[in-house]
Amino acid sequence: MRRALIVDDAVTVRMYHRQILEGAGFEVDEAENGVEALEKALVTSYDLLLVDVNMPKMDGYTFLKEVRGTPELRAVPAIMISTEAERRDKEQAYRAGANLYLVKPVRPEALALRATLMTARGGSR
Amino acid sequence: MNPLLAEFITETRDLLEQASQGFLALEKAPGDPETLNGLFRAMHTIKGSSGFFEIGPLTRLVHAAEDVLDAVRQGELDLTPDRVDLFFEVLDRVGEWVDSLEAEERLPPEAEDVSNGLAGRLRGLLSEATDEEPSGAGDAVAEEGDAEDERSACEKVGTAPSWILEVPDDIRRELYQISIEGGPGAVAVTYTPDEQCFFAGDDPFHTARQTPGLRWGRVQTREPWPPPEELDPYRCVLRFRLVAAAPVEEVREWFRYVMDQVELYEVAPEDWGVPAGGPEEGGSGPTANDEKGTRSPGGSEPGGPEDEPLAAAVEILRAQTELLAAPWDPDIRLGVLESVAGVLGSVLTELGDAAGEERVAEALETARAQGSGEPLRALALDVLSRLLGAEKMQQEGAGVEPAPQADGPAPERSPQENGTASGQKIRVLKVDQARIDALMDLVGELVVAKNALPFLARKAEEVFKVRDLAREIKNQHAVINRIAEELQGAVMQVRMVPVSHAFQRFPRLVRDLSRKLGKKVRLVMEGEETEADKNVVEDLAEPLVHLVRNSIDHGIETPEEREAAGKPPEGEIRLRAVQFDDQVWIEVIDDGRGMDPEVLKRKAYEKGILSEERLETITDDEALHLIFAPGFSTAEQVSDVSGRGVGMDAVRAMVDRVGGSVSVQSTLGRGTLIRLSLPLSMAVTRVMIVEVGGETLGVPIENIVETVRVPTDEIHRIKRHEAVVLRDRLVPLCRLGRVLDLGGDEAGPGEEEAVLVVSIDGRELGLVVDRFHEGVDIILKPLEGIMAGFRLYAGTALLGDGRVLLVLNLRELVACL
Repeated sequence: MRRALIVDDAVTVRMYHRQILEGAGFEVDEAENGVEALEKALVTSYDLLLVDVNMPKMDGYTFLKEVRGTPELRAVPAIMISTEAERRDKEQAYRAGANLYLVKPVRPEALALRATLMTARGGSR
Repeated sequence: MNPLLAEFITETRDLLEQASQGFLALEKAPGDPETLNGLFRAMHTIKGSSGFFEIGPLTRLVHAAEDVLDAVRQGELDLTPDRVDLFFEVLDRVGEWVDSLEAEERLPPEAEDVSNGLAGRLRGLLSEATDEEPSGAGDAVAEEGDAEDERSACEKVGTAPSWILEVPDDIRRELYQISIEGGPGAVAVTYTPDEQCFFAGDDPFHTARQTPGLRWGRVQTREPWPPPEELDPYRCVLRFRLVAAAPVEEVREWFRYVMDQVELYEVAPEDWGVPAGGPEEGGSGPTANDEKGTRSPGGSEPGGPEDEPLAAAVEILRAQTELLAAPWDPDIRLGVLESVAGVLGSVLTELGDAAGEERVAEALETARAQGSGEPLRALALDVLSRLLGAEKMQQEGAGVEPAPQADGPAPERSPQENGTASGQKIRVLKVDQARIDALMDLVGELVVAKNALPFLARKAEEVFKVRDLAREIKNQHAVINRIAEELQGAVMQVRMVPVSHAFQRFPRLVRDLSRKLGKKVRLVMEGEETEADKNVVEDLAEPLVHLVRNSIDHGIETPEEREAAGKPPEGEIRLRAVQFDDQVWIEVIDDGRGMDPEVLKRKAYEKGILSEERLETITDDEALHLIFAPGFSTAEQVSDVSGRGVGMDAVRAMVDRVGGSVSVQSTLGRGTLIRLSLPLSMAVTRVMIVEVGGETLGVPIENIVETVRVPTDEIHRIKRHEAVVLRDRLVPLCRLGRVLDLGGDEAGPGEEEAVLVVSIDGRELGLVVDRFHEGVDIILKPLEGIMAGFRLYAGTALLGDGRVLLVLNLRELVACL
């Protein structure tokens, strides 16, 4: 089964995304901030990271840069989900190494489909 | 209720509470970056989560709050107490709206106006910020669009103005829809009329209103309004923000006479901030909403819009090319390359491209060797162009099978696979309180019903003469008794909530009040985790407000008075909760001026609350309790804060209602402690049964101090009253049989009287009864109808043997002595 890690400080958002990803057949873990997410990612291998931008302790950008700079983690596909629809926010996400940038709230079908498309190999492995 | 909405409500309440504490903390440590970030994040999170529901006014208001906090964070704006007040107003409103969401699953009708008003005031702060610091032109300032150099540029190609995100969701969605369907496109107009424009014969309002294809507009002032006496009505300080669904040429034509005062921006579909995804079928919008407010995520709904897999693949591939072209740090290069390769491989596999994996592996190899993302980007672009061609062909209905899909099944592995979001573990159960209450009532009845078994056992033994059966019944009673007690405990446990629920509002209350009264007060809270019955905690909130208000208003002195008395200028109010046996003590302790019993006595006498006779015998301790008497107030001046002494009366009434009691301790010049003793649970009351003149009566156990037997010759007569000295205390006696007109035997010389010593509001009284019986758990039912007039009785209860027990209301008893 494919595994995803949801990194977001808002319970509501985590719950929303969890339902979508579980509906798409993912096994889901959650982390409240970048620090916690890094700890989890180093222990469990994930097929997908779903990352919020604004979080206490370590924000999404820093977290993603850490992931991309860590040999064991760097290849994991990551979707950054933010409330900001502006271009410069999107650019900053790519700068940090996000593979996809989505704006909240994301339509359940849209997220499920993208998550599935991006992790096809993870599931077959 | 939709679980997501329920979660949102809980989360938002927590965040509002956090924010409220954050603002209070900022007043102590202004500009603390950690706190500011926390505040910003709280608003940000509410904004983000609120997007799942159709509650635009709330979203826009917290968005405005977020923006202002961002400016504060950037050091562009100071948080003065007045501005904090505005934020508190915002928090209050959002709190009310959350209540309304909980009750009715929608915002109150006035929310739209309130939101616009408050958000406008918040955004007004931002323009103040630009005034305060004209040089600090961050992005936020530039977006305001009033910088001189931008005004000349009549048409902007750069980024979309951020304010278009303030356009209500439904309009944004509609415009998005129009533009992706090849409609006329949308134009965002910022029209800043010249200050002297009225003299040029312009009518900016008319011009704005008549914009072709106008869909939305907002008028704002460019600067805060000056005081009325300085207002120059001939100077135009307005700014219009308009969104028109019309070709840009048409809009430009309309504004041609004032082109130098107008900025146009052609809005691209993605600028609308409508989430990514393919085109929508009509009806439900691209956000996760349906007519009821939310759509449950997970699984696709029959007939619901389905995302086009091809479109999703295109979007993902595009994103990879953008990622590869982004200016990332060299030290994450390998991560970027490998993750892109992973995603590309995955998408190709999903699209059924059998050779995809291999091509990706090759491209990654080359990319690594060259230290550049170009090979991968070329591959992604190649796949993209083929996909787009295929998409076009599909749209055009050409019967040609697209290449990437030729040798594999169509990528239909979308969420339908797992339609239901099953397998979720429920750890927290939310239950309607009415169900718990019904359960509690049943448990109460069980507790009383099981009390019938001992009577049954006695009857079996005494009437039917079957001792063995009697013993078995007694054994069984013990078992049922244990289970009933555990059940009662368990149900009570469900209803227990920490008293912090009642404490939460106090930091704010203390701050507001002390500011209003010009006093300095520090609030210390202890034992917030102490638990009590939900109803008790809820009923507690209001009396506590009265008490704290009184402490600040009457207890704590002004800073000057305090310094003169050699105290620190800042007063302290301590809110403390402790569990004591089956009671919870809630204490409000201040280090203020304390209360003078002599003053209290004199006032009470003057107001006719105290008879001359009582004035002589009343102790200092009893005098303190006079503050709870109806119509009593010691304040020299009546203030608008704590009213006219009705507060403390109300406190006692409320505490009585839940079966608790109040006590006061006070030292002149040192401070006052008021303690509310409340039962942990209100469902079951314990009373002691006493017998007087053949009748049985119940006395609430929490009032009982002791039971004693007093020889008749130790009873003293003082005037018309009787009293007895117990351990150096003079305890007045009350013969219950006489007062209640029940008769009963009075002990002769050389015999003993049974005396039940009770304490009411710090005053002790000995009740002379015929006999003491056991204590029992009862469910107290208040007297109803005509019986409710008998204030001497607190209510009735059904005993195990079917008899009705009258329970005494001791305070009324004392009052009529």
